Amino acid sequence: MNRKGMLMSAGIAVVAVVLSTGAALSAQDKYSLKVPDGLAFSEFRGFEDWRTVAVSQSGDKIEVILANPVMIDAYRAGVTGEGKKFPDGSKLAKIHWIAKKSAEPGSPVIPDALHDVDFMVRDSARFADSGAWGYAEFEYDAPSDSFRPGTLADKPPQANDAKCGFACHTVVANKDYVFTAYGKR
Amino acid sequence: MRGVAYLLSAVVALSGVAVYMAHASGEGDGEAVPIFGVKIPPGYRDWKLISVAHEEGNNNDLRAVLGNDVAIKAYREGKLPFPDGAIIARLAWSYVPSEENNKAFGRAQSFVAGAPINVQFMVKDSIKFAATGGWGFAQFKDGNPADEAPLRTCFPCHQPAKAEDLVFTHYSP
Repeated sequence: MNRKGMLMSAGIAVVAVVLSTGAALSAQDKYSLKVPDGLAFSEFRGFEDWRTVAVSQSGDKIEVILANPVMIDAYRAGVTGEGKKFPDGSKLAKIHWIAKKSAEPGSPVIPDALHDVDFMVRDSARFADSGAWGYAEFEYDAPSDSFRPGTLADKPPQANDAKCGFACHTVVANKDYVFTAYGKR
Repeated sequence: MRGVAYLLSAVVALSGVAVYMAHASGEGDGEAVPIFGVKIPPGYRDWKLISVAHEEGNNNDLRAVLGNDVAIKAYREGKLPFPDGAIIARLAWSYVPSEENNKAFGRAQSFVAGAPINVQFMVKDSIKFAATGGWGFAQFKDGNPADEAPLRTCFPCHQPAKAEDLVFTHYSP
């Protein structure tokens, strides 16, 4: 590599470090967390900016499902439903908030405090024993504004591995273990 | 060194401008709504998430509220009023029970987004829409603009959120 090329790479590296540091300082460093013998939060870095797949509501929670660009492209190419598979590298984030009734017109049910964030990542070699998907769950504690890895006491239950969602998700094994369909517009 | 650094920042700055312009124009294809003349902004389905909602009662829908880069930046920085160029999109789907999800949960508790109902937009332009708090309002169903009558209700109904620049939805993630 010539001198100019090296300087250019150094410049890019500095920019990258500055950018990632800025993002990490904005809250607790959740990206340092990892499920014991499971997935790290950092595998899903930047999920807040992913695009929306769909919205849902379960019991006293309201949630959104976001996907990384690889998975959104696959959804749009029609990978959802019977017999279709998402490509390796697909990542899905499900954000659960505690639902509350708003006092605003129409009294909509809207998100209150964040409750937990669940992830799926597809890698057919790495997760060969759980349907090609790795799973992770991180619970949020509002008073301390911090996350912790889920445990077997949480919903969904999170053991010390990357398979937590496998048992429940086999209901939709014919849809590559993914419940959520792309909300069309 | 200095030359390379300038070149690098120039490239970064230019790509930033290109992204900004693509998102801020707010002019899409198709027909514009009456009164405000707003069209469907291109690429809105790819915008970042602001929040979600479930409206009970007459609408009985599930909603995602998305913002263009100008709106998301203002939300994340907590800045009010929203700057010109901000656009907020509200997408609504029908609220339907999920048999699959309930099978996994072992009880009937899960509702998901069904068929699309409509999409609404708020477009900030403090000069063009000075008479309605700086916001232009729009609603489309299957790409077709709403009539005048429902659009006349937007501004008066948003008055309770006057302290928050007429925007009801708070930033969630």
